[in-house]
Amino acid sequence: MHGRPRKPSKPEDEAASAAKAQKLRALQSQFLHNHQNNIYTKEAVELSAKLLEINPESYTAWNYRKLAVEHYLSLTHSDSNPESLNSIFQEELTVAENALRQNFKSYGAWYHRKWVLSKGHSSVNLELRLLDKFQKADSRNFHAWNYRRFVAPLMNRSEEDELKYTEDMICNNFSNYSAWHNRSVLLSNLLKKKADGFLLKEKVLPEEYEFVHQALFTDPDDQSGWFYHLWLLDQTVKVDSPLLVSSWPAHGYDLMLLGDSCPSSPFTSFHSDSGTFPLVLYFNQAVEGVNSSTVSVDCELNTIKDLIWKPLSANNSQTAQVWVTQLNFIDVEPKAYPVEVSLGHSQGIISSSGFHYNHSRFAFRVCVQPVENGSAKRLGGDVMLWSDEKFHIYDAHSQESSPVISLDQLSIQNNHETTASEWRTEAIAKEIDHFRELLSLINCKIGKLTLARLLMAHDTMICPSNKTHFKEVLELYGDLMKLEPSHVQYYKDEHSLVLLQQVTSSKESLLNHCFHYRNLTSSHIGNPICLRLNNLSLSRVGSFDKLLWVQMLDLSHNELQSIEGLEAMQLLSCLNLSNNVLCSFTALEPLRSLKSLKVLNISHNEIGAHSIDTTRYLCSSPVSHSAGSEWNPGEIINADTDVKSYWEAYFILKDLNLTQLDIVGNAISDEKFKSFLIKILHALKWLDGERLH
Amino acid sequence: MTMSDPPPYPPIDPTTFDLIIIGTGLPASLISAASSATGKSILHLDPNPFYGSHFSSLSVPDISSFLNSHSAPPFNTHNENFTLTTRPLFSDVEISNFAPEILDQHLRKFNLDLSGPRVLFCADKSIDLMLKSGASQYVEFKSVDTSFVGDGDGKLWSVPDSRAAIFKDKTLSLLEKNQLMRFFKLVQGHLSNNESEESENGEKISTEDMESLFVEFLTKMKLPPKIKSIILYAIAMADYDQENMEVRKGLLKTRDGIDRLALYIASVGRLVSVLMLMLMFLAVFSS
Repeated sequence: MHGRPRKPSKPEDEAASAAKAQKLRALQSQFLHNHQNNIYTKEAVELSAKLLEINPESYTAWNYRKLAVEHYLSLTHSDSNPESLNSIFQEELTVAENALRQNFKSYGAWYHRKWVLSKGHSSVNLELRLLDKFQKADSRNFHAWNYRRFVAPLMNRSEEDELKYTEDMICNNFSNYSAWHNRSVLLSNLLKKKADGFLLKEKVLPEEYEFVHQALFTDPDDQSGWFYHLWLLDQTVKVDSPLLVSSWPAHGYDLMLLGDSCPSSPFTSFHSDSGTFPLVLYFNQAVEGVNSSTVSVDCELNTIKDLIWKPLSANNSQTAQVWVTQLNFIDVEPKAYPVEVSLGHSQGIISSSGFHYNHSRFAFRVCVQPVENGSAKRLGGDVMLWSDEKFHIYDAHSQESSPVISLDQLSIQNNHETTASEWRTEAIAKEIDHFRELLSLINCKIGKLTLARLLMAHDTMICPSNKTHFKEVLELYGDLMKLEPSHVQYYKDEHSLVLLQQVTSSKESLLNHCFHYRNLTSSHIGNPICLRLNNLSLSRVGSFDKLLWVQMLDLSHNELQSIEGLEAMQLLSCLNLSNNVLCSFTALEPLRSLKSLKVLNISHNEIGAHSIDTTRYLCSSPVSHSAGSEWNPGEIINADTDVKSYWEAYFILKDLNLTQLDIVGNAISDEKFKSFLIKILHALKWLDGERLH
Repeated sequence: MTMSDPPPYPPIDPTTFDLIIIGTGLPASLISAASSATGKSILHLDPNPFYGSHFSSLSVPDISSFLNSHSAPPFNTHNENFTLTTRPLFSDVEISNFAPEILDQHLRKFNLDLSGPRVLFCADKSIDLMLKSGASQYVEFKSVDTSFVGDGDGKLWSVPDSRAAIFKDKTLSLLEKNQLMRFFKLVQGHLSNNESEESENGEKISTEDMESLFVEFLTKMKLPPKIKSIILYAIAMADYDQENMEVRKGLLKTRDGIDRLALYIASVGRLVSVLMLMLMFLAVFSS
């Protein structure tokens, strides 16, 4: 079962197994002969039983027996004697049981037994006794537990009784993943059904916490209880109905839609040549069914009809956390237009677990500015330089012309407080106390990780939190990186996400990272605001819900391997990803959704340096998934050799409207590749700082 | 059975023996069994009307008459060949009954061991000896279902002596559970390190600590008093008060304590909860 050392086989064992193989081979060939010739005589069927008793893993033999059963059933059909029916199935049960005695981890045998019982001719009363025997021999055997979940409802055994059974098994030895798992399955069902005594999560979950604590504190080194605890934490934090976390433009927003003039506030202005701008909805979980009938956008008495909503999802599914559509203000009279967005007035926005979105609405204003003739050139005409001296810290007070807008406005203040009911916060706070106590006694890695998760859960629940735990959580992840170098990447990712949450948690901390970009050679198109998150040792990016407004983003000098989630930042026009560890173009896939992107710096990464593209395994959005639907095979066959050799770069960049690209310092970047880029990027004016002709 | 009227004994024949053994306690029985196995003729006598001497378990009425009869002053039995001196087992006996009705009601439900519990660890060497000598044929073993430890206030606490028992225990706090289990693990790690010299991964108890008093070592490990007494009296089975520094009698050293815990662990295994065997003396007979 577990923890038994493997011993080298002795010569006499080897002789025995050779003899067994000899016998098995003879049986096998005889059996296959029977099977191929559809021979179902008594002797032939017995032969298959003999074979299965020696080798329960022979799937063909199990299938042969199923065919044999059907053969006999067709014969007995005329006299329809229930006795003979029973005996046919009883024989199958015996064969399966004998096989299980030989190897109780045989998939084929367990499956055959299920098949027999599902025919409904056999009594299920003996099944529990059989199971008890196997579960006594190995209490963690997941085959037996799995079969138990199948048999219990057939026997009309109540889920409450089964829950009690898991408790007994856990009391015998709590190091039992299968028992804890079965407990979580049963509890989920009971809570969903709102069975007697399981009506309220706030009653059930604290008792479960209490129960699992006994295991966690008795032996923190045993992992099985921690898995259950993680499940409990998820049950505590999870809010069933999907929520709108943020949007762009946000509620109460005054959006300056510019033709060609100076913005009054760099945060709220958006420059658009075409008079269109994206409307972004950011939910707390992936949802489906966002379309013009579930979301209505009203503007000045007219409803804007037939909006096309696009899911920003990695794998082309119709489920996504972020949805976007383009609003059109072409050729309208320059003035302010109030817009109201109403979601879920008709049902249809559904989370992946089947919960409906509750109705909500938000409103903003679009101020269309008159186009001034003869105004200066825009960004893109000039080279954009990412050097430090071009950036000046944004001082909100010095912006005499612009009313200081509240950054809190940039994200939706949802009615989070009401949904995160008191018992949840209480339960989490209690857990935090417990694990602080445990950690005061011992140095426990998984305890630290759990505490970090609990603290973050606590901070997100208490929405306008007056006391946050970012500092403590960052220290915990810092400790873990040192304690467990083998999982350093995971801890680094978590550290990065928490750091970004800290940065975006308040107006003050966010403003510390906001800079004016001033280029002397360029005109004064508004000294745009750049969010600089450079030199922060980030290995991942997150908190996109708070960053939907960003048009210029500096992520250089970090440790990014992936930019997953960046597709939500629909306003991005300038992006600096230089000096990271991006390994391939597939890692840049989110860029494909950023239609406003003009300036991109991916210099000094590791693109082309690795023969194996690990992004395909690390990232949940490998290109290979999305490629299928829109990739035209003819395109690649007819394309020239360059496209074939650089097809990944082609796939990512071909639809972008880049005017400036820096790619120097990557293994892939040679003269040949650069000339390929010039060929496919028609709007490109600057490549690696050189003006193209 | 009463002790006042012993039945008349049949005459003993033959009349000469290589060895006469008095008392049918465990050591005496082992000697007589071993001697008869080597072909000696033995007369085995017992002054009590029951077998097993003070290795026996008696019902409540029997035990009080036994206690009374064994607190008498010493007396000598004279014979032409030898003088037999019977010393009392107890210097002073005081028997009181706090709940006569309840006792009467449950009188038949239990026996009491004459001199403390005859509990042996499964892995104890004397078990091997009994099996080897054949004395085990006259002995019945019973596994201990549960053990309790009493505190000063007369309250009984179940002894959490295995991982599962600690998990289930309702009286220990979460932190106490953690401390107790960690102490068990420390001992286990120390023992497995002793077995294989090359593995240095587990913790090891220093030589200095091994020579110190066990009770002091437990204090040094920051174990709370309740857990200390569980380890000292219910698991290491110390016979004397370990915390009475004035008497300083029968104090265990850490080395002894660890040895006893090693025996305990060897008896418990890691996950099995049957740990000790209770000796039930039936009859030791030898010819």
